[in-house]
Amino acid sequence: MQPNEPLLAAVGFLAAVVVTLVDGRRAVTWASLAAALGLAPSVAASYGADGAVVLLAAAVAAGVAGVLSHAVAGRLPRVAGVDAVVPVVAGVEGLFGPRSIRVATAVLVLPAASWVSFNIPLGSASTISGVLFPAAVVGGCAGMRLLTARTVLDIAVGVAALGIAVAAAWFLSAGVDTLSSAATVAALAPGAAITSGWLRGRHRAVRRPAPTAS
Amino acid sequence: MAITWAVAGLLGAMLLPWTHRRRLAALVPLAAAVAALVSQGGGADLIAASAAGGLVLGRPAAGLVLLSALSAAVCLLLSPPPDSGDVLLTAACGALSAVALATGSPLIWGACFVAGAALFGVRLVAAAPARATLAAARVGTLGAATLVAASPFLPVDAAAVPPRAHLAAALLAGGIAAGFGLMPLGGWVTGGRRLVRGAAMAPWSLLLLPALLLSAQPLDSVLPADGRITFGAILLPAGAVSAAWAAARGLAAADGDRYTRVLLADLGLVAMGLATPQAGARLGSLLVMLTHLCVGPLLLQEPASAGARPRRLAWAALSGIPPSPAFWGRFALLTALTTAFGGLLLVVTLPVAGAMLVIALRATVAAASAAPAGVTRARAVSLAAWVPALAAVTVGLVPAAALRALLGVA
Repeated sequence: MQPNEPLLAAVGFLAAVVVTLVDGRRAVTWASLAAALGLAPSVAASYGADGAVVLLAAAVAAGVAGVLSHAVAGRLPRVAGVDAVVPVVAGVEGLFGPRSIRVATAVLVLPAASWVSFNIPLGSASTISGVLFPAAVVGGCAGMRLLTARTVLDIAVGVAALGIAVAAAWFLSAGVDTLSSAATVAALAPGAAITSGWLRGRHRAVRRPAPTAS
Repeated sequence: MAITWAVAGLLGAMLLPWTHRRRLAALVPLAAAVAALVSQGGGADLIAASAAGGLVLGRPAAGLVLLSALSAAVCLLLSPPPDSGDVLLTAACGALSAVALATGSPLIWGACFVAGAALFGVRLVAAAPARATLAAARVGTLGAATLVAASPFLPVDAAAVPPRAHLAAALLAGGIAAGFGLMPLGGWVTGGRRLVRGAAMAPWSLLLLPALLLSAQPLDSVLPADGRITFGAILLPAGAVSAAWAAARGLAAADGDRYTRVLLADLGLVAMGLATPQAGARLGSLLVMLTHLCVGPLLLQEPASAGARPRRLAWAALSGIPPSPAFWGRFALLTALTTAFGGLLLVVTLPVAGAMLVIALRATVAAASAAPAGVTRARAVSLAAWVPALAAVTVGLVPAAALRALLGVA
């Protein structure tokens, strides 16, 4: 049965939207899960179920590893430093916030991903089907996330989503040492989660006591 | 080697602060150097872009891993005692660069640089939160991301359709340009250098950068004709502009900024050399890389912290006056570029070489006049400051023998 390319592309597009917009302490986890869930169907259809399992396992590992590293770092003495969720440089009040800028740059990814998937042959897949589109759009949005990063967490989200997207593209292209190489690069997701969780835990903000009513 | 880096780094980061012996952090890269010496590679390096697969450390890559580890060890010895984060970062970048040099998979190759650039950028941001360090994290990681984005389209052979060859070549060239800090992507190098201690740049300049430089050497010969055109069309002008700009800015730079400017100018020349498969370009690039691996540990330090005489000798090695190693490297590069692209490039490359000579002479004079008064250093540290300078002089006196002995390149 031929894979439903428009449906796979739509699922990939939704994953890219989540990668672009997600914020907050668990952003790396949500971005990894979204990327894996969005790309697993196309990988399963083109390569096989074991490829999809690798992507999903990387996303789950990112979630678990991020929580564990934050918990371990939280038990250690706090050290002064940049909290991963706090912008590195104070932004100027402007018309467009960080999410708007991310969306504006991510919009540029759509035509580029479409062109690549319909004009560049990849492995045994035909260029007409656009099988690479989901991986290209998620990877491109991850790149835009890196380009517009304002916090350490943005860098971590970009790296995590990029790792899963490129692992999916590697499965689609049936590259050399397919499974082991893709698993290795998908490990960027749990690696990014560990780093961001550790930094959040070590540089956590000091809790100030609530002011008493006088 | 990667395991040695990782284990030594973890142990160093945990035990050294606890035992109040942070000065012994130099043992971490030293352990990796011993591992590199024991497991000397053989044969030619694997070319990641050929996507042949496997994990084998060839002779040149093994030599580079050893040199980078020794260079990092000397740098840590000369710098103020590092904290756990610096030790972990050095170990991580060392392990990742070793894997990147050994792999025959373009995906693993690119992923190593993504991880290294991201960790380096995050560490810079943590050390000095500012626009320049944030730019280091953004540009460095995104540049490495373009390398990994090229991997599904590799290998590209002559039968590949033109768009695939052009796309793969453009992504590779873009990643190399970002990794080398070429214009307009290199502002983070000079901006970040002003905000952090010089040795904080060591994981990039002594570990990741040499690995990228060596592994990018065969790219031009691996790409088909279409891809070579795109590859050269990006790197040649970007390298020329970067070299010229860095050299011009270096003439007016403060003492602490001069080495960074010279490094960027040399990287610009090396990037131009990547656009041609001439053997002289490769030899010149390797000699320039050797020179910076030798003098980098000393010149990355704060000017007032290191000994004046070793600094003067190191700057002499960078000056480009024969028989300095920089002279041989730049001469080989300029000759290869002229042979490949004609004499017009001399309009850019000769003034760049001349400017770097002037920068080095000014730095030499400044090193003599800025000798720290009353600064006491451990005798071992004072002696270690001479190692980089003397190593550079040795390479300059016997460049061909040095390349053969250290990297196995004839």
